[in-house]
Amino acid sequence: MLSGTMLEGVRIITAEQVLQLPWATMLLAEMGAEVIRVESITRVQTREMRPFPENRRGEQWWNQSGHYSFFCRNKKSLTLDLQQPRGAELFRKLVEVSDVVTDNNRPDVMDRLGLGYETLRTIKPDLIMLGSTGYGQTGPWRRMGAFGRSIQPMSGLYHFTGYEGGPPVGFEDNDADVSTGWNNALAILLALHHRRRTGQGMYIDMSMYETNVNWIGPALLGMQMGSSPYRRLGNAHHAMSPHGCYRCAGDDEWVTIAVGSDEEWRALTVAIGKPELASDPRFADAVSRWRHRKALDDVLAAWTVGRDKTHVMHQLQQAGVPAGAVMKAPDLLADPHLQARGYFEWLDHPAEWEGVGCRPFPGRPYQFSKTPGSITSVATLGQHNREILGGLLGLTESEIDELEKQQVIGTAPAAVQSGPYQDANRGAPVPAQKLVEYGDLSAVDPNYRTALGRRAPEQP
Amino acid sequence: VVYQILDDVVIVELAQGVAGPLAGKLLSNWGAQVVKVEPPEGDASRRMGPFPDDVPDPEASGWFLDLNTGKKGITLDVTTPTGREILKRLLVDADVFIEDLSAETQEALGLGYEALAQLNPRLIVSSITPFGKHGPHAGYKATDMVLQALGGYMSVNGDPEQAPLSIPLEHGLHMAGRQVALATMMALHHQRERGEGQHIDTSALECVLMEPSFLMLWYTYLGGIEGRGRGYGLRVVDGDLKECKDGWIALTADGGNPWSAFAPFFGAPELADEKFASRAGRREHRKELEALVEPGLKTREKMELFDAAIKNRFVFGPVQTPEEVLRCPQLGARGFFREINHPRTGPMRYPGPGMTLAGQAPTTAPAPCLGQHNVDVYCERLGYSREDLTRLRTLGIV
Repeated sequence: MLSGTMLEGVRIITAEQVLQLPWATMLLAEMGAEVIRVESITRVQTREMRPFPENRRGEQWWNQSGHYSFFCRNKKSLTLDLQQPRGAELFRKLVEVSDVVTDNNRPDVMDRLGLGYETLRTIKPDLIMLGSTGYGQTGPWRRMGAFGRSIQPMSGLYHFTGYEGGPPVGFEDNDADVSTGWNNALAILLALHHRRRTGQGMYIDMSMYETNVNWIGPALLGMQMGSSPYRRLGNAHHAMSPHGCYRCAGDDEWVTIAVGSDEEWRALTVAIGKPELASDPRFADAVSRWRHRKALDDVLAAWTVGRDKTHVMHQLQQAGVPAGAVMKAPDLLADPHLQARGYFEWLDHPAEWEGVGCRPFPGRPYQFSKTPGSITSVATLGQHNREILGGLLGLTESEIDELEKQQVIGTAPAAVQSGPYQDANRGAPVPAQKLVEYGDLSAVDPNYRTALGRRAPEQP
Repeated sequence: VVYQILDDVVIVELAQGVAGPLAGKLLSNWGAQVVKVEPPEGDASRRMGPFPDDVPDPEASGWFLDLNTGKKGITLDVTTPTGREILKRLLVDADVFIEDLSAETQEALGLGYEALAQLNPRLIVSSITPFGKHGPHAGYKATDMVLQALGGYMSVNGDPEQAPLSIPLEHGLHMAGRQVALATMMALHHQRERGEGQHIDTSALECVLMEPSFLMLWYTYLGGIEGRGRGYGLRVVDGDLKECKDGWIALTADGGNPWSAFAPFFGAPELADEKFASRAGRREHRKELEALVEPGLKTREKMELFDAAIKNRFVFGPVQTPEEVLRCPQLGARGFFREINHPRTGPMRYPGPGMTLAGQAPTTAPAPCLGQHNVDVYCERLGYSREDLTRLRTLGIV
């Protein structure tokens, strides 16, 4: 059996925060890369991020964050204060025995720490280094910070998103981070291929903005070809009709229906018990249907309104019409298709993760027949300090104790400095009722543990 | 550039529309030799506008041109036994087969993974279908919006008072294509290290679900069901789109500056009040906050605000139009756009890959015209004569 673990033997050191780079290195760690996450005991912001189990932060909150488990699973945790010369020196020693270094600090930060590519390549000539920033390492905007919520409007897709006749509307603001994460992981694999062929390393300058401009590629070409621009059409499609999202029975439950051919249209009219619509001159052909799409939406909305969204989906799909319920978290967890494919995986947190226990996490959308990958573990702060500093770098126990004394390393946060996320996450978590009031959550299901199933953590 | 990273990788792409072709393009960007196999009537995306001056032209679809740069194009009817045999000859020495056939069709055509692995054990079969190759809904149909609904994405997008909102421009399928490319590169790494190929079954639905997958966490940690728009209209300086003099802009208060820096920027000393310093406080007092921030926005243009934000270490993001993106000084300075000359449209500026790889340049070859490389591939690579090619054409196979 050849297979083994797919990315076994690839060691990545990462100085990362928040989302876009942690997402990328997590995807590689799931496939077997050894990802050493270099953390600081004075800036622990990723470990401060919500949610916390049962919305409560315990005394050792740095080993409780759901955000951390989600984005940093399968990684090793090494604390190193890179602001201290000894911390930066150990980082450089680690580079000697690693394949890839990644960071998503603003440009120049790694240089300032003595950890820039030009320095590191003298230590490790075939080093692959990736710097992932909002706008790239060069150009007039290089110093601009970036969040998903600032990059997404810039990259053009918001211009096309929104209800018909209304202003642009933003969408889920991790989108740009997640996309950049995929591009980061792809770039690292490209560079590994390059190294295998040439024996050479490479610097990768990733731009979140540029990655996300790609979403509007066809529209940019259309503009240069003198075609009519896309308009904001809500859920309507510029060619298909009917094509929309319709209210169903229940509280804020919806289903989508999309018709792309005359055949699907005829099947739809039969399925909803209104075959006469097929001969209605307003709806007889695709162009008329598009022109009368609002009347058509009214017809469908009147049919779906008292019906169960999942039932509507199955009924229409069985008739050959594309339809899909608007799924929320509990629907997804209970979905028979996702269950049959084994999409959710359970991560059993060790006892140090107070109150977290065993919880399901979304897995991977790609199933490899020989090297499947898995969710294996999550590290407490500094869990791998001794393994890495002692085992890999050969430091003695007393040297490691000294590092702890100097607070170069540690297993608990020191006096925490403020990071940009302090407002959102520091202090007591916002009470669930407030989250509902603010619109972050639409509801809180008090019986959710039952939905998680038998492996769910017990009520504390 | 004499060398491109992936120029030793041979890919056969039998996939239409957005997801599969995007995956092929993300690899052809860096020199992978992608042979795109189209049915004799062409890839479905050739029928998708925009078209030059709104005149439909299968050789000038904005979608097809964007998603198929740098590939060689051949036509082949793989539903015929002869077509399948020819396809297999292409796969014998390929590294990767990107395909989007349904499980049923694939088996019926004898192109299942087991059969192909016998032919070429090093072959990576990278499959992308709406729901994956197995599972109770594997036979269901989907469009991009349907995937965004089923993938949980629509439940968090849009105005809570209106219907959930889908994102246009085939956004869900775009996300799927990116992940297919990533999974394919992972398998290629394994193939080059260990010499074995394998099958990758990617579900576009699950690809879409990866984006908002974080919403699962609010449920599995505390029973929370995420709301639509995550507080649509309540996040005055935390990501809502606010109107300025010439458009819309998202402000964020977390850029690294203390909250007190906002007051002078907006010329509103009252903003310095600590009650606005936390996100929770800003939501509690959002009406007051709006009244203080909006006047300072209405009089200023979006890029003026953006430039000022760079100087003041704020993080702002104006809603740019595609025209603005195309003439963006940052993208210009970094050489982001590639000029690609297609015979039908002439030279146009195409988006680059988003990553700058030292010493490498992404391909500038255009998308193929229908059957453009039939002679190259059938005659020069597979050894058919020109007469054979005419025979195949006459029979409707190419």
